[in-house]
Amino acid sequence: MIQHSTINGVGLGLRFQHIDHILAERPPIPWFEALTDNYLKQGSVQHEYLMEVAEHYPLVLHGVGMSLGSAEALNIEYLTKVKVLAQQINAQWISDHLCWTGAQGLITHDLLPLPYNQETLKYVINRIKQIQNILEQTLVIENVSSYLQYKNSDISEWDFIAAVVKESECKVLLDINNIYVNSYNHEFDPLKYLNAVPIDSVQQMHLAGFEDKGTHLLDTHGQAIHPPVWGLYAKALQRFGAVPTLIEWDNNLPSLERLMQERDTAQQVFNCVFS
Amino acid sequence: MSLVNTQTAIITALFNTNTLSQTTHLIKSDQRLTAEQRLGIYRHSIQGILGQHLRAAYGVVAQLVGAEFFEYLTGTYIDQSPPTSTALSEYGEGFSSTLLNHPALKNMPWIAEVARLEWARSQAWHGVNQAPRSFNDLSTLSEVEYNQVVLQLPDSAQLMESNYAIYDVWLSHQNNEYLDKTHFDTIDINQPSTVLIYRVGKKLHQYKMNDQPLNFIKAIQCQSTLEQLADEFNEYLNEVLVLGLQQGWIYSWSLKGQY
Repeated sequence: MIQHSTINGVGLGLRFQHIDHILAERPPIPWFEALTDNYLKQGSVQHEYLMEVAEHYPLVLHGVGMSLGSAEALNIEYLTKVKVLAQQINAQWISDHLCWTGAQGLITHDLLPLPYNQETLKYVINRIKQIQNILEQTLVIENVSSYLQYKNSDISEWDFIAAVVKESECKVLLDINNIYVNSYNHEFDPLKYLNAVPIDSVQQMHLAGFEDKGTHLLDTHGQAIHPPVWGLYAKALQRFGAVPTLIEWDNNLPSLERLMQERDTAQQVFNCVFS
Repeated sequence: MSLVNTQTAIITALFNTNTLSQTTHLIKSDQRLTAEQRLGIYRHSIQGILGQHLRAAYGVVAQLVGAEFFEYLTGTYIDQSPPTSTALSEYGEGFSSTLLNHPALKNMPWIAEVARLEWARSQAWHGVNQAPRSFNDLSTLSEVEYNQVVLQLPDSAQLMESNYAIYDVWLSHQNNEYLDKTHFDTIDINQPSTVLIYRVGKKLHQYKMNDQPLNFIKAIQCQSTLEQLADEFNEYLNEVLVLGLQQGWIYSWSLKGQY
């Protein structure tokens, strides 16, 4: 049985391209976030690798498959697999996104925003409560980047998240880059967003890079973290305290050494705020 | 509009551009981007995510048809066969049919066969193997039991037979780490071939099979006992047993009728 470990400081997203290196060299990274959906098949090579990583590093699970806001029925089989995996690797918590990913039996494998209104709010709170009952633990929900807003949205994204957290008693994975991207795309003050999220609800933070497409910012996870996101991160640390933070990088994936440089920068901001 | 109707309208539009304009009434527009453009960002993103997955699974096909045409083909496939599983690794099985049925590839059916090979590789990589039983334990069996022993391939094994030289085509598009690769221009495409692919531990294996080992593998798949294998492959038995054990495709054993 893998022993309990505490998640602290700045961790990295575990990417398959780096696993051999991580297992061979055991770099000094305090913890990893594993992408749940890649490891759900028991006995697969990916699962074998993750079990090995779990012997050496504390892990959390981060998924895209729960589709918290989907109008379709909950995928109980999927949730059961997540629960089993979390137990096997002693995941410190399980997170997924406050969004929907599929409808009519089709799966987009992308993160689509929800209409923020009372109907959706009531529906999502109920879904999260059901999921927490199945998982037998508190779920951590992440705010997503978005490029559209619905005409039938009449609640701000930050008030929506605050209400979801209050009613479902879940926790928040606050993606600082997503707040910044959305503040540009939908023209709001990112500090207003930060200040609306309940202080004791934030379990983890994400940092990532975006791409400026001229008309909008695109959350690509494909480059270094931008200066304004570092600035917003410092503000978030001041408000929420020393919350464990993760560097996300998926596209144009660099070497582990380069990721560790980005991690060091985050650690410097972290140290600066708390010195 | 209700949540279910909103999501139904949007997902339809995301996989069918003809309905994109019919969904814009749900989305806010502003001076920077219209509702249609905003939906288009998501359509582009989904095509990008799924296209990237297909490009990883079908890397040799992408090289064979060229990046631009491959993108067109994957775009067509994504719209015609959107994913239905939360497991992305399961997406893309029918792509070879899209290639086979495309008019521009009508005279090159072997490209669809290379796609079948690449899919078999993907399935073998993601496949789950049974726990292997030690061959040392064979010595503990009675004579009656010994005659009922059947050999097993890894459960991840995929045996692919084709009318074309797909193994050589695949190999010719790998990097120089593959020492036995041949130049594409020298390959006789119309040469039939059979390829065995399987995963052992963290390594994917792929071998072109000639007659004797191939017949032996088929006999294993038919659950022929060791006694039957000895009768059938008499003079070749030792040779194929050694080959199978060396290459790792003789993976485990059981007693006939048991697993």
